[in-house]
Amino acid sequence: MIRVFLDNGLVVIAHQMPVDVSAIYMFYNVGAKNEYPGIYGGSHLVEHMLFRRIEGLGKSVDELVEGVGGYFNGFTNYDYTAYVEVLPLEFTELGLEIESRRMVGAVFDPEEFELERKIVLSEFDMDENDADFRLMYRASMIAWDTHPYRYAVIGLRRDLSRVSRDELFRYYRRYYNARNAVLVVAGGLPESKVVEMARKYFGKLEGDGETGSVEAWDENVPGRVRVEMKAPPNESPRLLYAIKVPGVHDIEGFRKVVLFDFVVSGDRAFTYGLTAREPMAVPRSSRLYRLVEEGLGNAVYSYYEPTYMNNLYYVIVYGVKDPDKAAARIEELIMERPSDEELRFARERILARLSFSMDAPSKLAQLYGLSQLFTGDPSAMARAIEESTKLGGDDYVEFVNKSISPPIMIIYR
Amino acid sequence: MNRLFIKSPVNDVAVVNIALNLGSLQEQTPGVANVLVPLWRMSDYAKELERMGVSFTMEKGLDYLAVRVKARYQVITKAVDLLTKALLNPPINRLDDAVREASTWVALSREDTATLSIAEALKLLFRDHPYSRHPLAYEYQLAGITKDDVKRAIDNLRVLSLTVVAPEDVVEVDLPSANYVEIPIREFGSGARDVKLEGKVQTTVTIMYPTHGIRDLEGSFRMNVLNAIIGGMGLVSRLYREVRVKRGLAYYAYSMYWPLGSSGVFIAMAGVRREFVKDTIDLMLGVISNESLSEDELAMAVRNRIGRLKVMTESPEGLAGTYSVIPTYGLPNDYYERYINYIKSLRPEDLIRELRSLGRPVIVTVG
Repeated sequence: MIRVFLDNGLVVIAHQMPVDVSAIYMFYNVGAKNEYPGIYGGSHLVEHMLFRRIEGLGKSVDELVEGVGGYFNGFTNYDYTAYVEVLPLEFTELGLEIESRRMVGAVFDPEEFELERKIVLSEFDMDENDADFRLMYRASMIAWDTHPYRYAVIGLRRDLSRVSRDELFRYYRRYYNARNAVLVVAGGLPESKVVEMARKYFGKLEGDGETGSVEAWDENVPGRVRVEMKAPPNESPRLLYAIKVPGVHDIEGFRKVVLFDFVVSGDRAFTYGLTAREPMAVPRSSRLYRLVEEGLGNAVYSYYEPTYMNNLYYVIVYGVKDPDKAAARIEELIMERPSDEELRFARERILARLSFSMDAPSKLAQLYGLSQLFTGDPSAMARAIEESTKLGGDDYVEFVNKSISPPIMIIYR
Repeated sequence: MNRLFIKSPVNDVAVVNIALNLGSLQEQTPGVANVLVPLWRMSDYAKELERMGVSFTMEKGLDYLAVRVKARYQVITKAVDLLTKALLNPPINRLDDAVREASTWVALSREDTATLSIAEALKLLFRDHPYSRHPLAYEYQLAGITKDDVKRAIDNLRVLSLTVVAPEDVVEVDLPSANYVEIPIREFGSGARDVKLEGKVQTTVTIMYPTHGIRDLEGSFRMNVLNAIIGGMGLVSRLYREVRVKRGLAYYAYSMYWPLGSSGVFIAMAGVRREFVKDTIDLMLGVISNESLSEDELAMAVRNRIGRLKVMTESPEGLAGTYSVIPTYGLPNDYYERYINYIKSLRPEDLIRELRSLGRPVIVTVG
């Protein structure tokens, strides 16, 4: 892997692998964390507009990429917005051309903007159809008050309905620039060739504009919170149990979260392949599964993704009988010191998952890009994940006593 | 045994896909595979696999139950050995726990409007054929499954195919094998159904047609390209353009083609608010039946299909998933070469004929 800084501030990361494919990822350091009242959800709407008309591209992004069989997508997150193309190797340059035009040439046609507003609101509807989403969204509103993570990534329906095209166009101009971006290309091309292409397509772009970097901050969960929500008769009763864990700004904290996660939940993909599904299931030998074995619920699931600032770690117990008893048991499971066998199990799985997270261009590019954005070092996250296997029982106990918040419990029945 | 080995471009990872005769098509007791999945995972052998850092999933489909294993290469032989023992020795004394867990997953699947709409459409289209039972979201009577049902399923357990992606061909599975056996469909159903679910903001529209199965090579190749044009090629497809891009009616609007062993299914879907359901159905039916097709649109779809084949194989699991259809359905080893050559030779009139031959659809709305 090599990393090069262009004169305009663009970070270029290249990694060669023995495949006939290239994954081109462009990360911008802008996401929900940069939003403010009136534009909650706006980063995501901007991402949608960046698949509409772009000056300098003869055709739409979808026509260009689909026309050669490529895969493309865009993702908006708490901290970043990313665009990706996975292309047959011979079309790598197409991906770089698209990304260079996208950085400066999005038109934000007013009619297209209104259509995309409707589409994003429809996406909001889709999310709200899902009971788990509604519970997590509610937990998020409890966890934060003025912090920009409060409305998750989808934002606020009211803001999405009202925000103007001009305001989001200014937002785009402010944050979409070379100085605020990381380009990662992983796949069959030699690294020197990638750098040469990056200079050709991005070297002449201006580096003006702002960076989206923010100082990490947080708001305390005031204490144990218990909320009841009414479930419709066609949905299973469930308990959502959420605690706040350190973000990647605290790399030591992140290292401990990884061990904690693998002891409690037993498995987690560090990156997601875009073109095929990775085998994934909650291991039966994980602590969480004891909830099912002990009859406290019929199935269990946990959700966590690394973000720059502290964020919530969710456990959902489905078919829960006595939610308070289940919550108390989750707490015991979290606080329990891991045995040597549990630590061995967690270490094996962490190392295996790390290998699986680096075996395809679209996964590796994701890991490097996130790491560069969060820490300024493309390898730091992989290193922290690997080094989490050196932590022991004392580190675990210290972590759960000092670094996690009181729980937010939402009972849905 | 029907098996396929592919040399992996990655040295330290191996992927094994095993197709078992426990899809909806082969189940003697409907739902027994749904119960077996959690039961298998409860075994000590499965837990040992987890402790070795092996990831594995067991997913019931219409044609087979897919066991997908991913492990570091140095442990793959031991992993497959443990997996075989897990498959043959489910802890049958924990049947009640497994039924409870499986029932919860079925209930959760039926909460999802998109999954439930497909399940209801399969019921209407395939009537008394086993394909009428969605693998995860059919109304299975799991509480009635007995230990004898489970024992019978294990006694009859067969491997339909084994696909290995690894640096070397070192994996064997010590289980009896069988070929995939088609169950012909006597007559397709038709009609419409509207399922109202409380608490849903959005409604899913599903329009489903019967079509060519995977063993009708040329027919399925044509459907593959036709699906790309109608709704399987992302934002550039006709459904996406008409429903989403031009009108902003829905976040998702697409189509899928499932080339199964005993039939094929073409499915068009969109998620909209209730007040737009009728207009959306009319629009989708209009898009699907649109018989104009230019040389350029066809050429783009063909390029898309060929390029996508390469892109799908960027990862070991992508390679295994793409190629496992060959041993599973007894397809020729040069299946994908034939596919590429055939679709390159297609003319617009070939696909227009294909479009005209689509049967009557079933239409389901859920939400």
